[in-house]
Amino acid sequence: MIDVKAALETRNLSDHAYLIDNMKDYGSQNEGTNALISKVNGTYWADDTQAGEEVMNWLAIDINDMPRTVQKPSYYTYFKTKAIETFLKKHLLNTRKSNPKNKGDNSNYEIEMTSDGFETMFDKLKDIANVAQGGLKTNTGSNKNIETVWPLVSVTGEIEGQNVNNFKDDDYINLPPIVTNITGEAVDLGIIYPAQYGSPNFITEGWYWCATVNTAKAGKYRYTAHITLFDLVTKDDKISWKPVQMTLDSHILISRDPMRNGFTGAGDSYLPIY
Amino acid sequence: MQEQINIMIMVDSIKALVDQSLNENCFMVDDSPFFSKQKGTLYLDTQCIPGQLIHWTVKAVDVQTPVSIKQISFEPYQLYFNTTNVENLDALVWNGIVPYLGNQQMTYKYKVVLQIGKGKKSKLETFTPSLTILPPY
Repeated sequence: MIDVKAALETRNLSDHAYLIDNMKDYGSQNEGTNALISKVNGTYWADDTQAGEEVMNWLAIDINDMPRTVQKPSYYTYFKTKAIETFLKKHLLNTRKSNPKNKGDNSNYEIEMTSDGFETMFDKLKDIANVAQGGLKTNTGSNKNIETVWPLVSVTGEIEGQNVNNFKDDDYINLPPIVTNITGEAVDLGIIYPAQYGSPNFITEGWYWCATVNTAKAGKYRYTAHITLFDLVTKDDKISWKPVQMTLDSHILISRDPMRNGFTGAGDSYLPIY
Repeated sequence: MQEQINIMIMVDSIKALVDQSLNENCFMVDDSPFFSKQKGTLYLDTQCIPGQLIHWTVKAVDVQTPVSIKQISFEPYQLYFNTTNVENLDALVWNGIVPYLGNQQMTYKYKVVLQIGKGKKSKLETFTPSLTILPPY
């Protein structure tokens, strides 16, 4: 979790990063600080080979961002993200206003199924789909900044178009931080094997970094996460995002336990029925 | 004869934690050659014969969620080993050989305790599955 605005202002990532993992109850140390030591509990067979697979995932999130729902493309979380909600509401609301038959109560977003109303709704939905597909575009003409078709969103989830003057105290949400590489001692020594994978995780536009851990070598190892933050640049009333590369050091601590039988606590035997 | 029977327990960890129950969120299958009953439910009745090795494994349907077997016990029979203080449940292998207990067919219900993450409400159990030991001939 990164305080993106502070990190960009000071150009110092490690003082504005808060690392959290899900292994606190299994031995991780310094949770919520920039000195996290992630515990990896490995297992080995009697012949000293690795028994279970341990996998690490890295997800970067802005501390200023809205609360995210569980990243699961299920029916009850699909439309829960507030930005998507307001986005849809705003567009469907416009549809309603543009249809002269519908006046008054704005709390109801239903659209009358006249041919006009249906076509307007269809156009609006196509707009939404186009915006969603547009994503990020690199504009080589503007100092390699990134132009985006996404509107700026305030910390309360309101969509404010692309005018940065709409925001008091710059309370717009930055583009999410993105992990771009994992390097360092743990990678060089063959302890972790990182790679980037595709996923339905929309925060990073469908990509995330993941590593399998070689738990055959117990010990503490350092790795470096390369993270790109995006700084908002306004030029000629146009906004664009300037990528800023930063790095962050962290550690993993690998322990290993021998595999043993759950019924006996030692070797294999008969089931406890007698 | 097939020497080992694998029993696989599949769990929807998130829904099981939300419901605080394995009912409808847990599915058990096996590869027994003797036509087990109620495959794909919590009421799996595995048919086996003495001398076979039974191996239980657990898998989360969403592979990124945690789940481990905390205990398997055949009540009222006492366990040989207590897993209460085992730190790393992933280091336990749940297998055992079916004992010879006579020539009649017997069904033994057993209890499965699953540990989903950590915390007060992370242990969920079911008494529903069973093992039917067929006569050895």
